[in-house]
Amino acid sequence: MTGRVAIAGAGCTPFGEHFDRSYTDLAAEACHEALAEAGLSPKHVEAAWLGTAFPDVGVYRGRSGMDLAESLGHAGIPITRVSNYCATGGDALRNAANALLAGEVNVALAVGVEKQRDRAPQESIVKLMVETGHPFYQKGFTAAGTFAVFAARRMKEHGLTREDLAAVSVKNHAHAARNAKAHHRKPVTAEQVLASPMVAWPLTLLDCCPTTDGAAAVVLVRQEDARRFPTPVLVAGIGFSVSSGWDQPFHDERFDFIGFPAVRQAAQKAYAQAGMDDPMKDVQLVEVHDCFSINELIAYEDLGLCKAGECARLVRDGVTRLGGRLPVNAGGGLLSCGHPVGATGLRMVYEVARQLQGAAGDRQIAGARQGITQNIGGPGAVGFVSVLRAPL
Amino acid sequence: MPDTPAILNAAARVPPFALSAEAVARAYGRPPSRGARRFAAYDEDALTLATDAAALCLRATAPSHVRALYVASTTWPRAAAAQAERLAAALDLPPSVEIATFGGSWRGGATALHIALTRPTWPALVVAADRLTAPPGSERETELGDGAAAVLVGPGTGLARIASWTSTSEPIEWETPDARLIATHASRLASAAPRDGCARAAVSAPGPRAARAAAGALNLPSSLGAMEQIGFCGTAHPLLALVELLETARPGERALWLTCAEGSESATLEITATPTRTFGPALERARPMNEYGRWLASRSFFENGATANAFSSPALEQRDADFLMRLRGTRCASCGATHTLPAPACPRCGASEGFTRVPLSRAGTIFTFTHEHYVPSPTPPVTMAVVDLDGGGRLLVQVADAAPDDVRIGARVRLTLRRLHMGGGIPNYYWKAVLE
Repeated sequence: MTGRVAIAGAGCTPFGEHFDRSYTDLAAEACHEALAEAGLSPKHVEAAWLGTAFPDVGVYRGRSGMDLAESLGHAGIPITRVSNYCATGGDALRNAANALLAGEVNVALAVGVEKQRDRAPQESIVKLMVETGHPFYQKGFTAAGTFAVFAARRMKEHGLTREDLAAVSVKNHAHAARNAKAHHRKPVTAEQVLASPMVAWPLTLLDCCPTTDGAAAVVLVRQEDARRFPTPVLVAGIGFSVSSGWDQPFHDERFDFIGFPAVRQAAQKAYAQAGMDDPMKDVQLVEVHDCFSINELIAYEDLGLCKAGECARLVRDGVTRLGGRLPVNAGGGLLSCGHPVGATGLRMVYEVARQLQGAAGDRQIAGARQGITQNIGGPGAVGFVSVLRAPL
Repeated sequence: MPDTPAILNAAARVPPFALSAEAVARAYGRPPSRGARRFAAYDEDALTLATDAAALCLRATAPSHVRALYVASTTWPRAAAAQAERLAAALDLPPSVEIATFGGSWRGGATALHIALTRPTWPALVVAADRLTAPPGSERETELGDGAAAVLVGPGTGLARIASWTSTSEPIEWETPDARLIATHASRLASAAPRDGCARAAVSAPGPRAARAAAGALNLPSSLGAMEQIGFCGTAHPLLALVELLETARPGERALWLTCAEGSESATLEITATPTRTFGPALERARPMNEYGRWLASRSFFENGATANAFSSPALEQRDADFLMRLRGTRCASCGATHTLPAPACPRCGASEGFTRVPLSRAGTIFTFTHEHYVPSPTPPVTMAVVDLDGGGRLLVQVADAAPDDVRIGARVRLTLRRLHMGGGIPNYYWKAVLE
């Protein structure tokens, strides 16, 4: 397939604990914001991809595309449910883009929704990991533990410290204070991060993203149709890779627990499509998948922002804070926005789009022309990277 | 008599956690008393204890050589559920191994040893294990213990030769508060045992008071299988006393081995060699756990249903038994890689055929780990470790029994069978790592 697609509109609900709102309420809000930006209504949508990673964690919504038809009051079109762990939103976008480039449709919608807080946090994704994974291979392992073992390995290999991890959380919480849609907007200190309850050593509560409800959506069109819309953003590159099955990293001694092959593979594809090779030169902002503080540091290396083993220096030296040379997670990241799993990838696309449009308010990065989003799914086996470019 | 069997090897499994009678007395506001018991962690039962003892005993013997397995316990987690067959699978014994189980009395372990010596299906492995619990607050609470022992029997010189064996039977009720009645039974059984010029004795009886009375009646220097430190370990105790004897006696000594139970089993032994010590080191590795509430919580975890919602699949367990129980991995003929998990394709080279099952090593090194504080457990945190096995293969497993601060990248571990969870009241077993 050749050609590119553009974002004609993007939408995102506030992320948080929406006890008074349903899965379909959130889906509708995100879609309506995206459609309104594009000057469209639901009836213009010709096909949609609905990303929800864990419909069976209490809400039983998002098992199929049907739930989007209900949210939009728009039926009679193909709607596909997408599920690929934490890269679900990105995969929805990739599938929508491919349908446009294949000529199947002219206006496509990619939506991500996750309603996690109809259940207590310990009954949602934690329970999922503890009780409904493989009955033998993973028993006792949570999402936090899945990545804590990387932190432990990097502490041994590269001298990573708990203070380095805390610095990521401090930075992203400071950014979130400027994002009205973030779940947690209160700044935290390194001391607070280090003193918060241990979740999976060496990760404390404030090294972990909260359990959050939210939805995000983008309206996609082909590049040649983009100029008909008021504020289009070009999708310059999409990379997606599945590097292994779920259990393999923990059972194959070649896996080094330092980085994620899936992200490196996805970055390579996305950068090639976008015609770029050095993100430190070519982009002005990056949104990375900081479900846990360690993941942001690993992403620096997998995305090529620094050399192997040097990730902690970037956050220590302030390179990646707002005002630094290359701000990362200017919107607060998953650590502060929260991580409604299916929505996260598209929330990051929304964030970068607003920056590239110059519409990011208090957290606007001056001169933002090109940005990256990155997601890591499962045990690090699913990687998504997109490169977005400023209005044409 | 070249076909006369000898004791070829013997090993003990005594868990590290120790509860003192003094701690129990404190909890109930009673005057202090003496003695202690050992107890196994919440994820252990008779089967896991038996597996560990047997694995220690077979360290120098290929599992495929074992021809018979005799197993004794009064505390199998379930009455009839292939317990001995699970043990055989966990030891990777051949499917042709002959199996017999002994229960229903305290003498089961001793009787099993007698059968192994007389029935010429050698080498034969005798394993006895019990996990005994008395009512909380009762005097018996720290008199009972958890433990297992295994003895390998067959032709050869080995560790000891059996010079004579004597058995008697009578239905004795040992669970009585009448200390003088217990002492009388034990003294009577001991007095009837033939001495045959023995200079020392190893004695087992259903509790410290009975054992002391039996030793007194023998009037020989006697060891009690450390009963006052570890508690009476049921069918395992006669074999534990035997292991202790073999580890402490000098080659050339002649010793009496006596089991007082529902009758008696006694033998005179000629000691010929000393085994690799497993009992002595286990006694030294005591980890006092004298918060009474913690002991109760640990003990009742599986019984009271406090575990997270259990999930299991008997179909999956059966299908993957070669991996889950026998710990066999897959070798790919195309690229030579060894993989732990069963899979339809080689994750390294993509081959979809040409796999053979190979035994995985049960020892390895921690590659990385974490302590999970939010995973439901009676003894949080749950430590998870990625373990690289010697000779190939990697596992993600829980680390059992460890103090979190002792877990390090690079630490040596061995694998031990444990209860992973309960599914519909049925224990599901899998391997965990313990620090070496």
